[in-house]
Amino acid sequence: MPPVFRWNTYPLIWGKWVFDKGFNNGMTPEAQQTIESLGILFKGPMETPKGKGVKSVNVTARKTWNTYANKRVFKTLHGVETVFSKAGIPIDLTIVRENIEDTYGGIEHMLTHDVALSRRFITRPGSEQVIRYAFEMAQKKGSHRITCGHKANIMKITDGLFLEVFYEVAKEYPDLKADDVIVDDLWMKLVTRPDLFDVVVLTNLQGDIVSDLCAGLVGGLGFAPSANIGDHICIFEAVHGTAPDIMGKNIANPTALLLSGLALLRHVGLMGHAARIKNALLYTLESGARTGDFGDKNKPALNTTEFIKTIIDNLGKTPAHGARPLLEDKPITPTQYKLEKNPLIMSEELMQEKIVGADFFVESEEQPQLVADKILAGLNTKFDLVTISNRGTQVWPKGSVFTNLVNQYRCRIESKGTEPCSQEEILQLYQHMMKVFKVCSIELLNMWGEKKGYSLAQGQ
Amino acid sequence: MKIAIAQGDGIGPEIMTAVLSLFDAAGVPLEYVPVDMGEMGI
Repeated sequence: MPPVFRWNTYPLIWGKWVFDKGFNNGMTPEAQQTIESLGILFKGPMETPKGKGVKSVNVTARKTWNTYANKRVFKTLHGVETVFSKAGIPIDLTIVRENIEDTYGGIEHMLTHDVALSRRFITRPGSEQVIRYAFEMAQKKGSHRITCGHKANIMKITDGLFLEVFYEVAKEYPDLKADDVIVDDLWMKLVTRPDLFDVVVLTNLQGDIVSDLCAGLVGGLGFAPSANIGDHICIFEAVHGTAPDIMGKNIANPTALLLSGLALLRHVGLMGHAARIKNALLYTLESGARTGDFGDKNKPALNTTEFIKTIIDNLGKTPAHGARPLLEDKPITPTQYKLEKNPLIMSEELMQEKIVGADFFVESEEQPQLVADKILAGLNTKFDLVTISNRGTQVWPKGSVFTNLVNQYRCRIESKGTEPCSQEEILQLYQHMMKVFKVCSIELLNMWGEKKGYSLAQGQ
Repeated sequence: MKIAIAQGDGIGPEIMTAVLSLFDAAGVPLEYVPVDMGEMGI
């Protein structure tokens, strides 16, 4: 492990390019080992080199260490003017975003030269981890409401699963008012009546978008802290960019990173220290002290060092609004874990699983009836061709000639009477299909008991 | 107690130094271990 410094004595070393050194995940093995042994990472904004074929170090860090919940608190700060502060509408929102799954796996393929496909993972245990965290947190902070944002009306299987788990967990918290809102409606309500909401939990992409929207409600990303919570490792970070245009000028606003740091202090039990610093920050903002990016433009802007110095001078003072009670520090929460193997998270399989067919994604420029004729010629009599869709819309056996086609069809072949079939039989179907088409992809049709594990085509 | 610090890129080092100097001034009982991460690393 590298030496330990008090920060003010730590020498800055510049110019070591982690990616250029060949560490494509953006961290050295020593860094990974240190973080895994300490359990807590406090991080500034990071750049992902563009066009070098590397993935975002921010996303890699969250995913590698399974920080399944991204918690972001958006609260009115007196001294930071927004549309809502001017209207006298107070904001106190906590967004909990699932942090691992969804389209963030980045599992994407070109099926034909025209057609790209992204896979979206939503899992029961993954959803349960983040939803359970949200309920626990909401209960601890005495929330009046917890809301699930989703698009389960369209994504019935994926968001449907997330929503199902939300209401399952809700049963264990009868004192919390739990409800759900479709995400587009949620966004409209958040920009008109943000004070109606308290804790909101969402899947990854929707949560990503809604949390930046909420940052806008309270003055921008410069005032938005972020905590990535996992069972073993937690990351506290500023989510704004690296602002290379003002780098080295000592004029950046450190508030978001400071608020994230205060979440870190509370997380490890340093409640008293966190409250004292928070009060000094609130007092400083109320007094009109500001960096150049916010506040009353008629007042002179402080640079980063002067802004922090002002907060230091205000330690021990109490703000007029939202003063934090000076709780005692708790014993420091241990954060060092040793794992011998990767934890497997899974739920109990309650129903008998069976395969009843497959969706074949095939490349074709032909009309739907011709595609169907080719499949039906010589199809194993155990199976039916049930539907053919193009971009999710059914075009066979019924459809409309007004539906535009791309050069890739999804052909659903099911066993008659949903009789169970073997993978061997699916392989035989594949061999049948590949004689007449290029098969781009295949997805098994599974059932659990009487419940289908696949969605119907639009119009089916 | 020790925590890992990745100061980040761009304005990262400036704002990290600012925040940790405030923590030091407030007597926060944490020690900081720098880690090599991001575009710039340490």
